[in-house]
Amino acid sequence: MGSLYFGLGFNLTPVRIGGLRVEQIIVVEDLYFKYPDGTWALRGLSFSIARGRKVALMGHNGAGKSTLLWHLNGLFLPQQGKVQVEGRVISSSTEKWVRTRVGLVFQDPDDQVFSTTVKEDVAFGPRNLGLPPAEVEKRVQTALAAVGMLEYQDRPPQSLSYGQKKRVAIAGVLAMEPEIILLDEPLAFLDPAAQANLYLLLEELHRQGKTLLVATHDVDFAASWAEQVLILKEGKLLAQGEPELLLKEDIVKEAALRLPIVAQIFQGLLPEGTPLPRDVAGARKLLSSLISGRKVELFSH
Amino acid sequence: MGNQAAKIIHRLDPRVKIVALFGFTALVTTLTSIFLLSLGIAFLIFLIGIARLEGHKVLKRLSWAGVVTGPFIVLLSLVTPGTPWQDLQVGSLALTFTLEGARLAVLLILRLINALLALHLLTETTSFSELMLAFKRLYVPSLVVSMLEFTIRYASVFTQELKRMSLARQARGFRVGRSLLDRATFFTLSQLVGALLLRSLQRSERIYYAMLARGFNGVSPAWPEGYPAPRLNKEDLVWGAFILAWALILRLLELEV
Repeated sequence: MGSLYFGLGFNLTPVRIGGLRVEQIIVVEDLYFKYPDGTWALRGLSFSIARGRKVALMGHNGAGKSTLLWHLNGLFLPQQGKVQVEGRVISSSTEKWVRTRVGLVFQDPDDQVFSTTVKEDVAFGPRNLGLPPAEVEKRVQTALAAVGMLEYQDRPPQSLSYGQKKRVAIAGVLAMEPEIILLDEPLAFLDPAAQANLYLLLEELHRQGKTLLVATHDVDFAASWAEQVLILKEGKLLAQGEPELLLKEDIVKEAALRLPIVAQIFQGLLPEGTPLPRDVAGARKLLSSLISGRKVELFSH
Repeated sequence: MGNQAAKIIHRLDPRVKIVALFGFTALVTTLTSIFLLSLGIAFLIFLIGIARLEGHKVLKRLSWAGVVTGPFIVLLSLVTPGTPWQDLQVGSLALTFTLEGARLAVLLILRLINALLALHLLTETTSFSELMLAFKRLYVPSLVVSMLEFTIRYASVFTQELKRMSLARQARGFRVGRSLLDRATFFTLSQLVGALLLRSLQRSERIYYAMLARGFNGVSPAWPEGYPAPRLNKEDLVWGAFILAWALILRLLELEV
């Protein structure tokens, strides 16, 4: 059952998921950040994420999603409050360390991919880690294979399509083998096939035990993929909980989002108290039970 | 066999290539003999042939340089005093090319070709990261190498940005090729340049943050401390000496002449 917290603080103690004690790998406490032009991007944000979770970070444009991701990677340091990764507070003395633990895939791959060849670009991060050349090469090959870009390794990035650049950007972060991977709008401008491939890649990373935090506007993706949802509004945490949160009309409306498409289809068709499906699999299951079971009369009129 | 020969130039230690080709350029571009300068070009074409570099790429690079420097070279042959060679009437303007001016123009063109061919040979047979690493190992200050590295990398980013902005303007009816004296065209182009500068600044900042996010700490990843410089082998030294020797011979021949 989805849990919903408003304005709650955080808890440093391990949480229980499915009966197991899981370490909280990211803890954000009362985080504030204001840009030099005076715009408040984050205003007292607090939440935590358990190790190995798939988390969707949602919110309208300007809600503070990207700013938050930059804090988790140590690109921005808190002006007030604190951010902890694996129990260590991010500060000027730990920001380099945190970048070895937290990988950030930027929204626009052109910001990230700009070396002379794909291979060079993917090697950028591992080289910064000071790895020996053989290890760098191995990681580059593995990362490019993971995103299906191995055959493009000698191509200049500017000759690639947007989707291919995006895959290279992800490979550049995978090659650093971070424990936590942050992706800023990874689905934006990707065609359906590329989105499906990315979905599979994220599932694979999840199976490997990585903690994934995806900033997205895509409600359908978040509802079907995430285990935890964080919704921001104007730099504050509007709500957090399991993906069923995205079925609450008042919350999604307030966050300038919408209900998942499958939920919209069933909205008003089900008896009161029957939960709406949040993804295609849930909708199929519900439809199947409606067609074969006693609830088929719902469709008779 | 052919492949093996082609690989020799590619395989040479980048430090040797830098020293040899920069040294070659420095020595040859100070020559004043057209014949000896031509021999320098012939030698570089020989090396390019060994390295099996594509001819059309060489020509493309040379033609770009010609477009940029051509007008200056023509101008030079007009303003150099000397024996009149050719007269040209452009409207009411009478232009006179002098023999000395024409010779100077040819000299400059040959020097330019020498320098460009040496640069082409270096950059086409050495990867960008290897080059940067070699500069560092040659004790070029890190700041200089970083500036060089970023200039080259940002150049392509800015070019792409300019292309996108130009296309977006064309899509809204802006016609390329009008005279710069046209007020509207001048206004549009000046806005384009201004916007490019601002966008470039913003993009540079984002690229820099993206680099920080992947562990960049102000030192190019091409030269982490853990990468010891390999020892130069005999083959490297022989080839480096061969290239420099050729330039020295040309230089000595000029002294003889």
